[in-house]
Amino acid sequence: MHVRITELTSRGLTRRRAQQAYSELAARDDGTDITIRLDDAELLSLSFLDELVAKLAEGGLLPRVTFAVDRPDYVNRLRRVRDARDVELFRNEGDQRRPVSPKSAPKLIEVQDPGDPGDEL
Amino acid sequence: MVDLSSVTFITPFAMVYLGMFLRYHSHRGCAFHWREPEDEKVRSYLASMRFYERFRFEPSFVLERQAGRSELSTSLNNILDVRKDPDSGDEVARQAADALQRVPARPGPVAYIISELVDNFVQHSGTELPGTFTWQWFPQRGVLSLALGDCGLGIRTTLQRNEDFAHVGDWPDEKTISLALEQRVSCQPGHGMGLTETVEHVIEARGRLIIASGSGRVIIDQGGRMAPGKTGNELPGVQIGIQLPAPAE
Repeated sequence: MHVRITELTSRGLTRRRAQQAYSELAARDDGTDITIRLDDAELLSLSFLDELVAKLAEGGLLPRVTFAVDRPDYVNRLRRVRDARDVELFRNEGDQRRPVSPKSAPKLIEVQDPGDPGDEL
Repeated sequence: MVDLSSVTFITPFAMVYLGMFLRYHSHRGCAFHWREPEDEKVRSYLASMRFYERFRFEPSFVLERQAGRSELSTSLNNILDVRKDPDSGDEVARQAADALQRVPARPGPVAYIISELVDNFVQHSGTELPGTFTWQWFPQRGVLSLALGDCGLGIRTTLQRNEDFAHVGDWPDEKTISLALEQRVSCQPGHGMGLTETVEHVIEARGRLIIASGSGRVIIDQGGRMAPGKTGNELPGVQIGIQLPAPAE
């Protein structure tokens, strides 16, 4: 089954939208492999993708899912979800189904309080 | 007494923080003596942003101030009240994105940031009092300034709902805020990606962020340096200010 993410939800920003997208996908599931095309969505947040993956895993659909995605920002978010959830994710690279490599969150460096934040903030 | 007489400049974050201070204490039955800014530009700006209407000043006072109100091309010209509706995040992000077409901001990160922060308010603020959102474009500095605030439970109390973080009860607010910026730290197990992503967008855009809750605040700069400190005040809820420079040509 091939599906565009925009067929599942009109917006890709919140966890709630991801839950709706998952419900829509689960209702269409015919038991075959699932390819979800992400690139045509205008905005897909990390929270959205994280929740979508969580729901797919919970529903047992994740092993059959391949994300069709070329946009570097969306690929990076999938890599972050891969890292944070520690689950196998797959994406299309050309004709190949390849595992998504994990990417960790950037670390913040704690520094001394500068005092007054100034008028910029 | 709220004395703004010597104020000559007010940022969106300061305006939202002050608004939340007024809203929170008014809700608890406090009345305020208000000393207006002596600077005409600041008075006029507050009127343009509908500050007096939004924070329930006397109707006669609001009318008087609105008489000289003008629309600014660089501003939302409003402080939006954000209600606890599940679609608020999408809705406020859309409204802001429409208005932001007038300025050279990065629409993508701004929509993500607004949606995430508003959604956090809807999910976690724990209050029926509305939150607020506004933005201002500073053309001379090429900077977009966003601010969002609520006067709900605040980060420490909210985090304690998750038993993994029950131990933060006696932590200073700034330490709890720093913790909340880490991935997978949330009052809901399995959540806690959105604030991390917000910070990433800000750093990537070489912006700055301030997040305040209770008596603490954390400032994050362009290099991903995080400075925890005190606000010098005690205000429940969460108040956030973000500054994003215009993208390089």
